[in-house]
Amino acid sequence: MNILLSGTGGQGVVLAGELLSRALFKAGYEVVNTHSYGAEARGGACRSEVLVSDEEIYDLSLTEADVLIAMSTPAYRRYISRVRNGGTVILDSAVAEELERLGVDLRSDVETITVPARRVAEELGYPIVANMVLIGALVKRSRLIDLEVVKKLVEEEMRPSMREINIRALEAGYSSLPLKD
Amino acid sequence: MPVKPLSYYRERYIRHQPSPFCPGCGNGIILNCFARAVDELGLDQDRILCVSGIGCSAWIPSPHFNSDTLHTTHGRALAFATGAKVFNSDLTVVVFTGDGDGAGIGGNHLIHAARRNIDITTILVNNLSYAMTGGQIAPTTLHGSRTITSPYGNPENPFDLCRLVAAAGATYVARWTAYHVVELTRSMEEAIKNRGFSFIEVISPCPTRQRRIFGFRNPIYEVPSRIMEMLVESTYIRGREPKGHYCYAIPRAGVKEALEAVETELGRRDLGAGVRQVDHLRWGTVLRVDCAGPEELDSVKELLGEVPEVERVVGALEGKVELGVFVRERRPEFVESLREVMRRAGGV
Amino acid sequence: MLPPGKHLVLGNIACAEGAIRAGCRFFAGYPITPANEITQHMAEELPRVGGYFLQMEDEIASMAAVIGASWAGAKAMTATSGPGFSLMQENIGYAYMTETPCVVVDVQRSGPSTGQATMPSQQDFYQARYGAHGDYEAVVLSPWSVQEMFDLTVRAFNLAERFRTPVILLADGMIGHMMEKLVIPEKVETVERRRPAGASCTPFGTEDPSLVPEMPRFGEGYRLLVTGSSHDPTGRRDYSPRVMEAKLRRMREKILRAEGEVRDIVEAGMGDARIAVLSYGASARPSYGAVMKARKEGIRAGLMRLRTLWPFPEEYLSKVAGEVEAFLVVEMNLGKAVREVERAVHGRVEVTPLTRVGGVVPTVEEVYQAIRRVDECL
Repeated sequence: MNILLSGTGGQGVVLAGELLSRALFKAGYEVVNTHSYGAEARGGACRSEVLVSDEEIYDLSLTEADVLIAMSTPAYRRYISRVRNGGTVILDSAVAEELERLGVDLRSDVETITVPARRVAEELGYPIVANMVLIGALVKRSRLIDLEVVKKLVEEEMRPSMREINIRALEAGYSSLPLKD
Repeated sequence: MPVKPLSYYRERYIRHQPSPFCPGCGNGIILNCFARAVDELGLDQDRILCVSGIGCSAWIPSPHFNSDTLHTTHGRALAFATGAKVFNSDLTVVVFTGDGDGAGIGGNHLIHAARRNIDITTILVNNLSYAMTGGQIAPTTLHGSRTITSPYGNPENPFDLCRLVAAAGATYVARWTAYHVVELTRSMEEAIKNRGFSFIEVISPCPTRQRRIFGFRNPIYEVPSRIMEMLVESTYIRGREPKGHYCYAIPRAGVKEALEAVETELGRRDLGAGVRQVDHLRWGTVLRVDCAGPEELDSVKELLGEVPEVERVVGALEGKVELGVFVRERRPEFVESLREVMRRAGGV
Repeated sequence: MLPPGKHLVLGNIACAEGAIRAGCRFFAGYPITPANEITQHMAEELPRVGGYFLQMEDEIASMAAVIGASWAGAKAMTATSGPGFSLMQENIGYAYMTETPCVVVDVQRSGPSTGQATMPSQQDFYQARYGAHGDYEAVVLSPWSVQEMFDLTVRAFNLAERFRTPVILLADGMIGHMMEKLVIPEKVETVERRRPAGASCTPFGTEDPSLVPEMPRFGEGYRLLVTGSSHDPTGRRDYSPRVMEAKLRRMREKILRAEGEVRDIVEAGMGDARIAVLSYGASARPSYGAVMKARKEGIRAGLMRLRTLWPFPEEYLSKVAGEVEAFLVVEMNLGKAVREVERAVHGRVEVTPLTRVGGVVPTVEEVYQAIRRVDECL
């Protein structure tokens, strides 16, 4: 599966991609994670590509994404064309609203899921964890791993003051989606 | 300072090779001073590392000095030396460089080595041009000098290297000339003993190139001593200002005419002051007038002002290059700091 | 330092970890994208193992410090990218001339000049071989994965020590900046330079059939004469044609004599291949995928992946040319390795380039289509 996370610099796209990659790696998958951003530390376009497979991964370029996570409108517009026919797009609700305001049509051949990531993060008091909310939703939707694996990684790798908040963000994102068959 | 026989230094410290240095070159003198300084300090010769770049000065240690020597690329000696010193801080590392090699292409490494205050001694031989390659302008060439790349006069200004290196952070900074062998040797000892970046600028004769730069028309065998006299005339040691009451008269046109005119004037006024031609780094070939006392000096200055062949009168100290030890400080030394880094990282 | 076992790490980190395990205890570098993580990791880890990390004022000084440290006895390394690699060339040439063991990592980015700083390329293929002026043989390695960033860095140090030569690890920004699995072994095999046995030594000459002289270090009483000028076996300057020629030919021969051992080509499907797909580094990844896909479709393609770029395996390729019907060379530059392949093949079979510049890695599909086109022409 090819997962493309995107947003603007400062939203934690790269961090989310790395965390997701580590969780998948821990679960025993083959993983390749690349990222790129504009030169600005904050504000430029940013993406993280997670290639996950049961077998050795040879192709390094993510031409077609199975899943796109878009945390900002420019990111959505930039990368939506990369999603394959029948793929999934996980959008921040704020982005979905903005696209509607701008009169941008969503693709009919992909599944679009909206998650109120920014709102949840703000309710938790830390807008920065919006990325975690989206990861939680992705974990639920993709069914590649258990949320427990990701939560455990957060426990091990993040500093104590932020652990709780990140875990709650993950759970919020996870539970915001209904279980699919 | 007790002096041992020449053969002692030669046998012990010099590799036996014919010297490629021009007759009258200051490099041989500097090599001698270095050998004596090393001997005076009783350094373990097996732990000395001499590093040099490219140029005539680079040949002082390589191959002539009998220790480990590293002859590197143009301007980069200090960077090579840094690597060696850091990895083996038991080595006494001395860098020999020239004004072009050390302050031109090597300028950046010079200021950073000084900034780091790494325990290395740098001896920079300043002969005022890129001598080995024919005598091109260097960052130390005086404004207006004629060289092969400044045939109409040097449009650039020179560094004051000691101020530069002192500002960059060196903890021992001194300037001497190849004439001042006793002071230079003692200074080398102090520099090596200093646990930090030590810098000695040595203004040095290069008869082959300076002959053209200063316009000396003498036969070549007279040039070395003329340059040495110029170095003495043009410098003074801090704290030891020159004795005597004298001034310099800068000729408007020819020196000969000015000399005759001044002699005549002095004779007419029946003044006992002596006048002669001297060479000065700053003023060129000028007249020096020595007087018996300050009152006579005042009268002479007034008199000279009225001689049409004299363009300008300058004081004894004006335009002289200051010699001496300018900086003796303590700052965190680089290798010691790296050891502290290692301690903090848990690697010791 | 990472413990032995399986890890998901950045390619650049894997490189630094490999270096330390190979015995590297001196690193001098300068900030440049996309090599910064190597420098940063060395800054953190080297002091922990009793090594020295220096950030120098520029790349020229970095390379110089590496050489100085090597002569003081260190296994020393620097890491940079295109613009810095260009600056280092003079001193790399000095390292060749003085037969100084050291490792230079070039994490290639798209150029020339400032180019695309964060995007990969394989454009320094020739610069890694011929960047410094003069005549010398180069040993250049090319990793294609995070694992090989570790393994080939270790190999680089071992080859440097064995042959008393700089070894260049030609990585690229793709592999350097991607996270992938790395398995760190319990133990790593290392090679040490041959030190002089007695009270005297000949640092630049030898009777040994390897043609590699023993390597002394400063501070042991050898009163060494090390110079970049032409020199005789004792290190004394000697500009005579005979002496210089002997030196250059020995330096060349010491590497070429061992070409068979330095050569490192990973092959897949070459047993029955009609089309040889030759690639290296990042572009070998999609090439492998494309070869596998082609073979599934019944096309007899095989992959030749070079892990040692220089000395270029001319002789070996010449032999392969007698066994296949075509070559497809895949690389991220305007066509460099392809010229060496053409040279080796000597017109006997068709050589087709697939080149990509602009900071992009070819895709499996692109290479597969190219294989198909070659196959159609057979």
